[in-house]
Amino acid sequence: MSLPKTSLWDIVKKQFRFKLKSYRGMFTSLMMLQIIGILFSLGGEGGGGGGSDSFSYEMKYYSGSFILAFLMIWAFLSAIIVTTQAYRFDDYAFVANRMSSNLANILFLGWASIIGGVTFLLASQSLKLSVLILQEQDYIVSQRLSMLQMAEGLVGIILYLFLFTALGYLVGMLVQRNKIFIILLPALLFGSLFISVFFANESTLLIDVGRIFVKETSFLLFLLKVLFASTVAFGSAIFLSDNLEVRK
Amino acid sequence: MLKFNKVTKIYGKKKVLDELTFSIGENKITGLIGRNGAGKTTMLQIAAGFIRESSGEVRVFGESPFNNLSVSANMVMVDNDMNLPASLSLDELLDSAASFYPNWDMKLARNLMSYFRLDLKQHHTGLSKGMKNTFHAILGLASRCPLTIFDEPTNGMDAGVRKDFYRALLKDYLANPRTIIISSHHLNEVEDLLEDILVLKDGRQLLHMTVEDMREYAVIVSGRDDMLNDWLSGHELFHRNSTDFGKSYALIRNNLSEGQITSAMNKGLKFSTISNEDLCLYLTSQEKGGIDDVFTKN
Amino acid sequence: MSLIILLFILLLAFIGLANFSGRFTSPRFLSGSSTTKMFTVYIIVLLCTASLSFVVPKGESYQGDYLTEQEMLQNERLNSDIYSIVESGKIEEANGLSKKKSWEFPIEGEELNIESKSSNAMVFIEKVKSIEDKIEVTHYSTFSYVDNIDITDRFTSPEVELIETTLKILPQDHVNIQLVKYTKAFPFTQFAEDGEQFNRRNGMMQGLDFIYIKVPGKMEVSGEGYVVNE
Repeated sequence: MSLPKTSLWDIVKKQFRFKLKSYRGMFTSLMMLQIIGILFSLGGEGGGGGGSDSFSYEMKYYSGSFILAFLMIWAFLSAIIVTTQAYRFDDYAFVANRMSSNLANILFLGWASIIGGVTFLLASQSLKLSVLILQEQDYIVSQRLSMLQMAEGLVGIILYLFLFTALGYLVGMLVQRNKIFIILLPALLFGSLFISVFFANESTLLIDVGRIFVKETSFLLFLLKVLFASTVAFGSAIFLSDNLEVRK
Repeated sequence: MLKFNKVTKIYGKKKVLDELTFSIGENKITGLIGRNGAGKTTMLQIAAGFIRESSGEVRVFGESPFNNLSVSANMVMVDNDMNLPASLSLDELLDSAASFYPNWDMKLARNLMSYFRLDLKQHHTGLSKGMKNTFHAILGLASRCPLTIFDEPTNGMDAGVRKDFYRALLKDYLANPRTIIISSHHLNEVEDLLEDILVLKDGRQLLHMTVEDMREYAVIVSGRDDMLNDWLSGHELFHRNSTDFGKSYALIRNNLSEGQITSAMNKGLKFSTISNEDLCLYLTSQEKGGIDDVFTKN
Repeated sequence: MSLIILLFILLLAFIGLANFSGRFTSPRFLSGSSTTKMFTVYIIVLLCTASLSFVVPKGESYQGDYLTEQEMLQNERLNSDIYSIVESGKIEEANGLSKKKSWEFPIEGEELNIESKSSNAMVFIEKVKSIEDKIEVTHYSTFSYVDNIDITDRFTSPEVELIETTLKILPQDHVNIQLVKYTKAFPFTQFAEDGEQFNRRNGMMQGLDFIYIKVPGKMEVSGEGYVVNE
């Protein structure tokens, strides 16, 4: 008896839809983190003051940076969680193989990044509203975003989040492959930080790598860099997952 | 349909499957019998493509099942620790299953759910062990996959539910024939359903035959120790037991000729039949392994 | 923000993540369609507040038209030049000065004593022949800004009064500027063409105040103040 060939893409789509439902807890944590991020941000992110006899000023800055930082952590950790055994095995409750499972995960993480980016935009606007309402100050400065800035910024945030999910996915797979990475990866991270402090080195590998993305002012190049880096990360993760048992 | 050729699976140093060879034909219900640790679950997981064989060749629908999407799409394996997402209600799980399996029968699934009084709004993790397995069994039945594997499906179910489940399985099988493998400790529970029986012991195939053939396969001979000992030489002995009063019985292969039976009768030996369940129990018993053991002990 | 609140927030964050990572908390908590509903409600609330944020009346808010780098440099240059210009009596020619208030006081006699209690206003006196029996007092100031925002208007002029032959300049009201600034989060500025990401200068400058007094040509002036044409 020979089988009708099952289309990979077809199964990936089905799994993606399945994950939208079964991973919705991820969006609950997104929501909680954003609310926390907004509350956090209401305290202000920075400020200053000064003056003379006849004049004094106080400044307080607000921006969505806290929310964004939380979101990046969220993206990273969520991707790790997706690689854990329980979540991997959930895939095989129904039709799956490793490739379809990985592809559906990437698709889902991409989708989560988009949701993360869009809700960040909304949440930061909500923060702005709260600042406008709650603060009775003389001057409230809000920088207007041009449409282009908003669009580029939104895509930029989504790309950052996607990059973090890719990193998380790779880290998660490394850990699944060998538990020693639970110790090794943080050790490497802190080790590189210590070394840079010890040798009073301004740049560390981590910061240098970060600069590749953060200092990129060309949108197109940034897009290419992120896509390239995520492809490498996801590709390695898929390669690593090849030695894991499908399900026990 | 399902073929194992010299399949070995090694976990660490332990050989769980040892050059297992068998094949199962299409649209049959096969019972997989064996003691704990005989390799039943490992064999089924390999057949389902969840784990990879260490050596040998496995063919399901003519393809190697490991990590094979086509096999996965045409196969369902129901076991006790199925991973189902905790975040979905039973209703949503049924919907998800329906989206994956082209032959899914939602009407059957919902009817079974209401018959077994499973609440669609409930969550998988909130179910008791028996109810979980009932739900898994419903998934297995309703998905109507060409290859359906049940690994100890009735664990934790109460007697009534077991009966109902097997009855449902049989009815659905008759309406929609497909290849079904059921592993179980309790042969007599499933015997009525089965066409074939595959008995595993220590990762090897012990028996593979139809239920009918198995009924004829062995016979019990009982009588006085000395008479029995004389007569037994030359027969394939599966099990031997002595009682206190100089009487003993033996389980032997039922390939006796008329002459052998007459000679036995003359020695005052009696023949009796054995149920398949008991037969399997003796065949797979651990403490007295094979024929050699019996002789060295004597 | 106090440490306790911080810890509390971190705790919440972990509960949030733990809830997703599964199986620590009861799965019935926040699962199933209630999760979807809750998230939908959240999105709707966000959409409402976000769109409100575009509509809400801004009050005295300032729509981010900044002084540019060049304008600021220019102001600084003007400020450094202005003293000498005023000192040389060419106040009408000075750039970057704005006239804030002026007074006229009738005066008899030929004596004027000036008493300034303002700490930052500099007093200049010009003797003008064409003026008779009065003094003209004008308050000028240069630009002030905080965080690149022009706040010149926020500074009031000092009270000035003439009692017999003494001109009193009272201190200016204390000006307190409270500034709340909602900035763009990082990625929104990353691709800015003008390199806004890297060199943003938040300048703060308090402008100079000048009290310029024109008195009749033959007036004798004493007290605080510099007579520009003598």
